[in-house]
Amino acid sequence: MEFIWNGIVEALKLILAGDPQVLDAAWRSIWISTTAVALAAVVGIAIGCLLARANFRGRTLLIILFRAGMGIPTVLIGLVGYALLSRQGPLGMLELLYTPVGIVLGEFALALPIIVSLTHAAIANLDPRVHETAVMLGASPWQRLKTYLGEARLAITLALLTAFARCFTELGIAIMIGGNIKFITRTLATATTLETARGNLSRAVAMSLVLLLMAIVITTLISLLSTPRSQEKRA
Amino acid sequence: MTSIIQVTDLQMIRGNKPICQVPALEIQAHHKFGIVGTNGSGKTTLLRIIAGLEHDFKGTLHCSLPQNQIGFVHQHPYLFKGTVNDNVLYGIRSMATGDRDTLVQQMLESFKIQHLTNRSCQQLSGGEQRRVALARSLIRQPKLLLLDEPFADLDDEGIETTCNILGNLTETTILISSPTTIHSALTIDGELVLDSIAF
Repeated sequence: MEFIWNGIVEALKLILAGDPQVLDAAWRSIWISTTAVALAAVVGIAIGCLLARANFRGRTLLIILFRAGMGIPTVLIGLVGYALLSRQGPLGMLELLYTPVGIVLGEFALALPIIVSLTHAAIANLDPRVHETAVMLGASPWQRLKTYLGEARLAITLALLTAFARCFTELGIAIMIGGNIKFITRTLATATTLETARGNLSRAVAMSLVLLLMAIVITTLISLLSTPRSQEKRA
Repeated sequence: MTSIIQVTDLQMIRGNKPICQVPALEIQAHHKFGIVGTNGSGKTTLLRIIAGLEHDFKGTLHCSLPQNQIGFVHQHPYLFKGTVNDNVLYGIRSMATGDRDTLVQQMLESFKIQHLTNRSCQQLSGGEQRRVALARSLIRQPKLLLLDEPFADLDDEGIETTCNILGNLTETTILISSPTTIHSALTIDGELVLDSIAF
């Protein structure tokens, strides 16, 4: 137990001293996850709304596929991403393998099914009177869409936070597409794995403490937003 | 006087059971018309069909007005998240800001709920919610107004205020559903009694 305690003490010293490796990995993890979720939000919310409100051939199949995609292992996304972005792959000419942008693309693929499925569920489960009231008040299709998003904003915010939590803590994509290159593609999750393998426990604990802190912040936000009282206040 | 709604042999069936049957109905423009019947007699369904919210019915329905000139207030109105002001101006957002703000204030004053302007709709009583929903629908000046049991949840003052406002709408055709005879404070031009449907 003593070595774990020592590791925590050393980790706190590293964090308080502003260790460049810890800060670099933390900052990269934050911006990569934020960018991936922001891009997935633009595409995913639109697809989620479309699946919830429009009727077209293949809609049910798409809903099932996106739901299945929520549980896809990150190593599989990493492997497919590697195959696509590697020099011999169809997207090799983009030279995105072992770059932060490559990780963003991989995490986009991770976040998209989560955002699509949860947005679809949020919009599809809205009270039918929302649609009927908007129609009877002369709302245009664009105004109706804004109304649906407004009425489901809490559930959609939770979807984005859930996607962010998944991206921020994932390992498979960052290792396989990013390659864990120091000061270039290293994230908190990949750095923790590497430092543990090296036996550098204090730095590994420091990395995981930042990860843990972020996870606590996100979980707290999700809990606060999902309580009925906060729904009333925000309504 | 021109008729704006004509119904012939209208029937709606759901799950092999008829939920609304109206052999014949004709409503003249500018009339106030009551649709009276017990629970399950098809009052709400008839109003929803006229509003264009239900399409899967048999028989014929001729309504001379497009849907954007019809106002419909649910039996249990849905108010969007936000304030009373947000809800009432929802249907007139395309108007110039100054005009629509004046209109909203006038409408809230006529329903005696101007003190609720900035109140969150989730904090309103059932009667207040119903008045906001009526104001939200009326502000668009619909030519046909469909009200599903509009006096439920209203106190005596609310009923009187609503009846006065509806009574003054001489250019609007109004259909009101009610489980009992329409409130005496509102003069109506005709009434359709729907029998409960036996299966």
